[in-house]
Amino acid sequence: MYGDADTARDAMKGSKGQVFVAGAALFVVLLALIAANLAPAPAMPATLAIEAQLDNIAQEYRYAIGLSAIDESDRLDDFSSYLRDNIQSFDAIYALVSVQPGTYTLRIGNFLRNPAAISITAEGSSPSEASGTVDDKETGSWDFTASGDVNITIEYTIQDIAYSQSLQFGADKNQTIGWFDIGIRSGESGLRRSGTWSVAG
Amino acid sequence: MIEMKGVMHVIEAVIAIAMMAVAIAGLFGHAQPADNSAQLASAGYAALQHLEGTGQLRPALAARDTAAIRAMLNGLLGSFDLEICEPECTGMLQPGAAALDYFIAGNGSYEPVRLRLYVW
Repeated sequence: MYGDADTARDAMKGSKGQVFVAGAALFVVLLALIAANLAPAPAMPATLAIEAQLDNIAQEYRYAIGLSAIDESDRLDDFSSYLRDNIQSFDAIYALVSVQPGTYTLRIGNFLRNPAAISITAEGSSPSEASGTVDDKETGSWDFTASGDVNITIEYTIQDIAYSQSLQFGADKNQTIGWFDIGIRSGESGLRRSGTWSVAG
Repeated sequence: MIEMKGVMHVIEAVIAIAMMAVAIAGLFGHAQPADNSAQLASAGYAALQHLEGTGQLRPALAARDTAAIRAMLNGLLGSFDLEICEPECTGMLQPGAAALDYFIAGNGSYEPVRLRLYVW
């Protein structure tokens, strides 16, 4: 009887260390569970700053559309090149329409780092269709005649993905219309802004 | 034999303590100080946008008048430094500071300027 009790006591003594290890393992599992449940959602600190930077750049694209009207030149091309040189992950595409009564010129600038296949449908214009390929950091230009309301649809395909953008304007007065789509990449994702702006005269 | 058991207990206890220490270090070791550089950058952009809204920033930037820009920002930001990057920015980013770039396309004529603002 006593012999059995001693054996059991010895067995208990022998397993003390294993109880420590088992307890530690349980502690580790509990900590892991707590960490998994209490860990804050991954913050996106860079997003806030990129949003603000895109707001700044979009504002300056609108300003550059105005400067294009004043200078009668494509300042969006200059500004896009400048930004590509100064912001590593920046890309952009834009369309700039310079209207003089009866005629207009459409320029499309591609700064998307890949060639863009362009297809233009120009309602109320002659020709009513145009197309071409614009390489990265290049600008394509097309001339049209028109009177009254014009509705341009620009379809561009980058790496087999098609996008579309429409612009409406009257062809009976001097004006400059610009559309832009700009982006900054951050890690695996990216943020974009787009907008249109028109300047009379 | 008894001594051997004692040594084994000590080893097991050490293993248990090491496991807990590693777990605690793993859990709390990742808790780095909060990275508020994005908030600092946002505050910097907000201050610059405010000055742009008042019409003060664009002429000063076009004139590369860093003293005037500094004076305008004094009331809006705590600690900051700035430079006009022509073409490269040469300032060094201090630990805990945020660097942000602010662009203008020009001021009445096309002449782009890049301002780098350091906020901490």
